[in-house]
Amino acid sequence: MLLAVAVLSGFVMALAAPWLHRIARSTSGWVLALFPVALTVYFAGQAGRVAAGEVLAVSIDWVPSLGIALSFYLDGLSLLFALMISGIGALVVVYAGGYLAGHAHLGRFYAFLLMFLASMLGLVLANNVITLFVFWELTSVSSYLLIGFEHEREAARQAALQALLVTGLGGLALLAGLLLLGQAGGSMELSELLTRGEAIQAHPFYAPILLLILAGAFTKSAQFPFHFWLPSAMEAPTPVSAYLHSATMVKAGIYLLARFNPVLGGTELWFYIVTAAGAATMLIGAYLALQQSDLKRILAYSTMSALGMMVLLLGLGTELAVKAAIVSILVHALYKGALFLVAGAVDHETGTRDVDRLGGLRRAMPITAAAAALAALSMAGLPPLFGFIGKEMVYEAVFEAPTAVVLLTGVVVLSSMFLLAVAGVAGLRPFFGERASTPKHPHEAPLSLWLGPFLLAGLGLFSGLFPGAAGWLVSPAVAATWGQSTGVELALFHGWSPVLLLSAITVAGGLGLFAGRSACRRAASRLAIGSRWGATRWYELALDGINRLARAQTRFLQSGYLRYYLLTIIATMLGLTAYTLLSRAGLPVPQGSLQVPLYQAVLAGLILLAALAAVRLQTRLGAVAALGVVGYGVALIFVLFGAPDLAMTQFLVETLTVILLVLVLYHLPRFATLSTRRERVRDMAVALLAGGLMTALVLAAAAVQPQLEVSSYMADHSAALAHGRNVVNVILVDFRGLDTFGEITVLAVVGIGVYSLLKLRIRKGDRP
Amino acid sequence: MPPVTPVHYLFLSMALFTIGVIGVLTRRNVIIILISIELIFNAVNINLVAFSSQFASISGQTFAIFVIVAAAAEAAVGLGIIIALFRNKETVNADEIDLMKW
Amino acid sequence: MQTSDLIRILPEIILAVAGIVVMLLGAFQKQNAGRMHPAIALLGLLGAAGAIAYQYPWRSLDPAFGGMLELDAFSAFFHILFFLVAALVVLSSSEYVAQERLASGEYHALLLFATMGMGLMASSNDLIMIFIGLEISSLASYILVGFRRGVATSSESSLKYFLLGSFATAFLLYGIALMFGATGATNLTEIHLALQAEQNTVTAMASPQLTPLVGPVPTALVGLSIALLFVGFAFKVSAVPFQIWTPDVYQGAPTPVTAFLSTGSKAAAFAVFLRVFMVALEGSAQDWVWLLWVSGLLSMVLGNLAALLQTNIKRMLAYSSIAHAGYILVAFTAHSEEGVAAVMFYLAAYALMNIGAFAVVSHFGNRGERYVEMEHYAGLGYRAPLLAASMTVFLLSLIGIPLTGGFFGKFYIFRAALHADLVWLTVLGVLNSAIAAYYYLRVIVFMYMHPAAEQIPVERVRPAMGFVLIFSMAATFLLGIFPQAVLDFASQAAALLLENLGNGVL
Repeated sequence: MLLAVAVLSGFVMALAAPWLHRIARSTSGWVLALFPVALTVYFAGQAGRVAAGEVLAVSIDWVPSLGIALSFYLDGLSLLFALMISGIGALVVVYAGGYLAGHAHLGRFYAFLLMFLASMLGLVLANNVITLFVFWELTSVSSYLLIGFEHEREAARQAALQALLVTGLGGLALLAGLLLLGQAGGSMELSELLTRGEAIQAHPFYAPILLLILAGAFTKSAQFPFHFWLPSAMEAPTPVSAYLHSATMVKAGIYLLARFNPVLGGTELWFYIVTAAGAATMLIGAYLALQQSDLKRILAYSTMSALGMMVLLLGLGTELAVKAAIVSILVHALYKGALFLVAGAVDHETGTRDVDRLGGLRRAMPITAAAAALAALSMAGLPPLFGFIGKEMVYEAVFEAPTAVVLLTGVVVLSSMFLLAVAGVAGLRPFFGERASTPKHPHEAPLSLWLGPFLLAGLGLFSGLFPGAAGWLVSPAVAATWGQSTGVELALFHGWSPVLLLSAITVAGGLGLFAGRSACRRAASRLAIGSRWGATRWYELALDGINRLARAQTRFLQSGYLRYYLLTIIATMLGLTAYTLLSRAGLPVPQGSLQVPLYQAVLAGLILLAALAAVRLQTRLGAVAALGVVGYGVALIFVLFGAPDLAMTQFLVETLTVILLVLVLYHLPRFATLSTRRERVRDMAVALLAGGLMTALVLAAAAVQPQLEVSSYMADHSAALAHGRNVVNVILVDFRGLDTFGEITVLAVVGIGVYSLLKLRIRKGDRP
Repeated sequence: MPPVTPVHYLFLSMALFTIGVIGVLTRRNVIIILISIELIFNAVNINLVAFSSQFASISGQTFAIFVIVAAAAEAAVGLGIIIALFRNKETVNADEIDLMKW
Repeated sequence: MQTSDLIRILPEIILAVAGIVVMLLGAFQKQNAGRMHPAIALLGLLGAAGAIAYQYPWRSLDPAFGGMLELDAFSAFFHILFFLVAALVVLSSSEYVAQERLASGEYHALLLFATMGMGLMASSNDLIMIFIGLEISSLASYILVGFRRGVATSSESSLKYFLLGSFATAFLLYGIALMFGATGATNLTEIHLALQAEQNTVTAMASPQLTPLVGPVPTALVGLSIALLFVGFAFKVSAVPFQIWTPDVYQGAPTPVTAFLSTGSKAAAFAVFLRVFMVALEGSAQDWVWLLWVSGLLSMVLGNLAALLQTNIKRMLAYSSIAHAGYILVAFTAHSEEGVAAVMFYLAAYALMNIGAFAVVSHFGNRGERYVEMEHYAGLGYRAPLLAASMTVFLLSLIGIPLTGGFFGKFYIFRAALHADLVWLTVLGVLNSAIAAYYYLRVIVFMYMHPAAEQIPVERVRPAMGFVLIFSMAATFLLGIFPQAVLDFASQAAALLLENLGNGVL
């Protein structure tokens, strides 16, 4: 139960945050940070039980008939993420208090941030897949609010919308995938589904499930080709980038992959898609990171690359790869969180984030510089930092890959070289070398701004020196991802091995790239790969295409002209009739016996002639009179069928209608011309075709049914029918009393309606 | 009664229906469109009565009465609407009624 | 006719009487009588709702009027929905009626009559009854659409709605006639039996001494009749390709009337659509399921695409209502008990959020509906927080964001579709909701993230309108957080509707 409270209390805190901010004022960051700190303590307290293999679960009924429960559970994987979310969350809240101090909407910012934190916790702790989706969407929404926080700027609005669209689209794909998964697995609870991997992989829905869930994961984790939203999202305030784009939101996709690894992983489809996407993202991200000069964009692209590496590892799916992936998650959260926060502090103190204009800040900002250096070394994968352990494990895992070892190793090593160079640019370059002049004169950042990076970078060093300490967190997570418990031993030195050699090569290559980075950037700008073939362009093209398609279809269908609307209805009817005719009846066989007595034939001919006249005549009175003739003719047919009362009604109503029409026509102008000749031919053809086809169909239907011959029957039972004739009026008032009631209402409606419509004129004069 | 089957009346009804559709499609004057729709209602009635006699069931005839009245009601409402439109726009030509589109 | 029969249509009788009273008041009273009309209308709706509640539990064991009318849980569900919709529309139009100086008596009378027609549609079990209910509500709506005085667009809407509507009704009627010709019945249950037995029935009206005319049901006639019935109903629910009238009519109609049409009328049409196809035509499902499939998909795609381009909020919501009809058709395509329940739940959720959204549009539109363009909404979030916040809630629900009614509506629909193995349709439907998110969000972005271009007056929200906004917001959240009660009601009603069918109960 405490677990559910831990998740849901975040939303309550989010509501209370603006109010608390108003009370605590300048110390609000510290006060509010107590909440995530408490969460961290709580989760850390569960670590022992989780490590022992215990799983905490809690379930509250929500919509039982749909199989939706508000259920949470905590295993090794959830715990790892929960600790990162609440721990880094605490640091970011403190940081935000300093970074945005004095901002008019800081209270609102806290609210969004805590809402995001709670959604993220819900996401990683959810047991029910629908609950998971609900929190997934809530992270999208709250991140939208956070990215668009500085909405006065057009760029921020665009970026927020782009991020929401891409992740929202992925989220919906995820929903479809989860629904299918629930269908295939027979349960909505993750804990159940995790045990049914084989059945689900054998299910015909497996491929769509996998593709849809991967679409969700890849969009959230900015995997190629959905990566473009992440760099744009750097419009967000820095605390947001530090939080969302290092430890939490982008990791949600990774979490999803890890979480579903036991269910969906291990197949060829999984291997090829996931590994390929990861490898592509890793390489592209690392390459593009080196081309940037904005500190945050550098970090964004390198984050993309790191995420690609984790995806690649999860795609490999071997035991070593899973271990490496989990360790990488932790490593990355620590150094990237620190570096983002440092970038924010530098921006805050100097007024710029352009690395070309930064340098020699170590004297002015020593603590920040130390944190940055430690984090950068960890990112570069140098001993004795935690990053080194992580990278060694990655190399080992790639070495043992089931296939394509050379290709994968090449990709990973090349990317690592780039990342090493990037680490130098982002973490060391601004602080060392010559002092560059900046828009603002830098001072050491306040405590709230350096505490976060310092702690995170320090943890990176600590975990590197004492890898056993990280082990208690990593091994339950590996067990949960791998599907069975397995020992994880982390160590700085693994003995002399090819892996160590690769590390050495990486360092050498990376240093080379660092030295030649400006040449590299120049060469790249000449190629202009990013702008011409980048996914942003595809995104724009897609939006443009959709807009153009939309415009074309509305112009075509929604022309505003009544005749096209009517034509659409008839054309559809035509298609439906043709379909029915062909599928049901075949082509009709002409019936021989069209023996009709003369007077009936004359009557029918008269009706049709009059009808034609009604629709063709150019004179107003002529058309109306022709309609009257049709009506009277139909009334005569009623008489033939032995329904004189019906005929009387028809006579009366028809007369009334004609009089009405004549009265109205006096007020209206003369008939205008018909439409143009070509249009008329087309419309006539459509109408004739529709009518003709329907006639053919009806006749065909009647042709196969000789029982429709009822003439003798009619003769035999005329007496009985006469009886029936007489009861029509009785029926109207008694048996069909309900209909009659309805009919009277129709007339009442018509009465008021016409009255009020006509009244419009009387009051027209007083129109303003 | 002479040997006339409902099939013949189905044919008549269909022909009337088709003429109605032609009128709706080819004419531009809204009054004629209204008249054409009235023709279709008449076609329905012929069907209903023919079927009613075929099944020796009174339902069809009863239904026909309601259709007659409903057709009249539609005509009345339609004329009201047309007059209201004419007062606002000074036209009853369907092709000039395109304020709203896309 | 028996007393029990009369009790069955007591709700309709109450509405008709209330309508007549309002109308007479309007005719005989002069100035300042306007306040009475909404009160009487609300009273009538309350009475009608009471008459429905009085008949609990709603089981269809003894249908009224020789089987023409069924007051089962299905129709009770829709009755309650219609009354709710009508009441909210009455409340939210009080500002509008006063400010546009509409003829209050006629306006409310027509609303009541339309509601009554919708009620008849929901409970009728006979094609004749359905036609009459449809006519009552349609004729009233045609007039209501043209109710804005001296506004050309309103008259144009009215005319387009009328001509296209009566054209579609003519098709529907022709379909009914052919169905009668094929099966010899107009009663839905009898049609079902006839189609099942592939023998036409002779209705209860045939005199006993007559030898009934038994023969095989001509399937081609049935096929054509299904196509024609589909045209008629698809038109009323504004499904592609019969959606064409929707944007023009919704845009030109008085905003409260648009709200009424897009929620009440649509729900009524779906009620009839469901009853006819699921009860009478269940046996020939293979003839119409593909129609629904294609129409549902096209409705979602075309509706959403067109909505992307709109700058007029009313027109945007009109196109989106086409897309929502598409989502509903997805559940309908499943043609299962769960599908029917999903349609019902979605209609309820959609009605509440859409009425709310139109209430905001109506209030903000000000005199003469001057401010209905997207750009007018710029900066609204800071100038009218309540209005903007409620609009945001409604739009989020229309997107289908979790914790709003729209989410569970969509969820239920897609679940039902999946259970019927409609994998592709579901996936395409889900992707479509993403396109939809774009244009709804654009309004939110305008309200909160754009600076106001010009000073647009925002009138004070009067109590009636405030109640509508708060009620719709609360209900939207309620359906999104505690949907169980409504879900249960819908699924029981759906079960009852189809269960009677299985037993062949007449």
